[in-house]
Amino acid sequence: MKRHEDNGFDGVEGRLSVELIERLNEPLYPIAAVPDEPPVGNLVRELTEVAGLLPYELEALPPDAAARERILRSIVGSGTAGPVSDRTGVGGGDRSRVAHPWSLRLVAALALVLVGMSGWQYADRQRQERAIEQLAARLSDIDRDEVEVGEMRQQLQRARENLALVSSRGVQVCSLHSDGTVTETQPATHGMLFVASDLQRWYLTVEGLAPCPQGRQYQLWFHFADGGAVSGGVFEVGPGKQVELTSDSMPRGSVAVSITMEPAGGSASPSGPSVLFGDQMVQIL
Amino acid sequence: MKTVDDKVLIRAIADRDAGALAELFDRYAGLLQSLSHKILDDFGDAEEILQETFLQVWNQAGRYDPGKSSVSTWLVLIARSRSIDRLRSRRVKLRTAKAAHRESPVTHTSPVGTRNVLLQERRKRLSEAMAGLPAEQREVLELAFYGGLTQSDIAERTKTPLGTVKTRTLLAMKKLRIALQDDIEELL
Repeated sequence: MKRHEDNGFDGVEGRLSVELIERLNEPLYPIAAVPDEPPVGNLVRELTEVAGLLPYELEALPPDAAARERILRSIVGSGTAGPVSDRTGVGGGDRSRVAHPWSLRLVAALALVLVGMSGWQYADRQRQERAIEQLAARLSDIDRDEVEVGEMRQQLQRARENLALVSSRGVQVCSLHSDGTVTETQPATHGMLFVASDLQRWYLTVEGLAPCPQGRQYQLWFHFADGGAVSGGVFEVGPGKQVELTSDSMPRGSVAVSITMEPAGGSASPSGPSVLFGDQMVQIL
Repeated sequence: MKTVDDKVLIRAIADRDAGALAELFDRYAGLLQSLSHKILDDFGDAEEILQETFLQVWNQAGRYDPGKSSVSTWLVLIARSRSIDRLRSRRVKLRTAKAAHRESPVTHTSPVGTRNVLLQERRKRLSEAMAGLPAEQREVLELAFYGGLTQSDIAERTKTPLGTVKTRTLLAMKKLRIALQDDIEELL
């Protein structure tokens, strides 16, 4: 499981980070075998409420009446429309039973007024519907923005983790080059593998890798002294894009790293042309 | 005493009840604005965060899950999250300019009635509970919650190992959990 470089309070949708609580919990609490009442779950809920209580220590700062009105109006508008008055009832409550000329003229005039007002109502409804559509589109934009913010936050966390790894004390670095014996030579391609001092966490970055042909994928390999190799996963790359791979576990005893081009889905062992290779680990910090 | 439970208000807000939103606003605006002001140190920004928070409530009330947290905590963590995002994206020059432009005295009204008494009592308990924490535990908690610093940042700032920061944070939270057990049960 990847580490999250948040501080415990940066969970999604206003929750504590469960992974962090679980990880923090490990040295202090043994996991109790209580199937119906997981202690971590209860603890997370109660500590979440502790977080929610912290600001109660502060002196409350309620907004003044003008700010309150301004904020609420900006959220819900000027309030819901009141019931539409039954204008069709105007002049219709006591219609003459005899078609008197004056009555006819009056009815005609009123009919014209009603048509006009219906037109206004129709225009109002059109405006309302447009406003609703615009608000719905805006809401969709806000939702999308929130998703993008969430994704950016995850990217930032991953970038922090990777930076911590490559700058950690005892980190070892292996440079990957085209080994010149392949048919799929990409001279502009270069990679760097950073391995933490625990020889477990690693971060690989590759530049200049061309997109694979249709039906092919790149595959990462960790090689052993006896000639065996273990797959580190398959990946694809877009034009001009940098590749970044990372993991918390590296096969023990690895003596070299390579990237080959394999059939889509990968191979059980390296079979395609090698694109990058590196076997010289250097400690730089 | 509340006449309507917070969860009932949230359900009404999910049905686009503007009156319910106003009621929830009146209950929590003071708390949330004080939180944002604590983080951002700017009344204008704090008011904007208050608006953003309640706009999110208006739009996402249907997503509130009472199994995850109380309404109060949900609001607090939303407001905190937005405040920290604003803090992290703010540049020093912009902060100076905004402070000069907006830092004018603002009139605040205090909540009245029974709710004010309850809030004052809770505030007293929180103050006592926080004062009961060892200084180093309180420091890491405040840096994380109000400062938005990562645990690595806190370790660097306080010149303590990362593992120690994590342990102090968790111990502080657990001590507060015991000291505030009555308030937690009230919220659950």
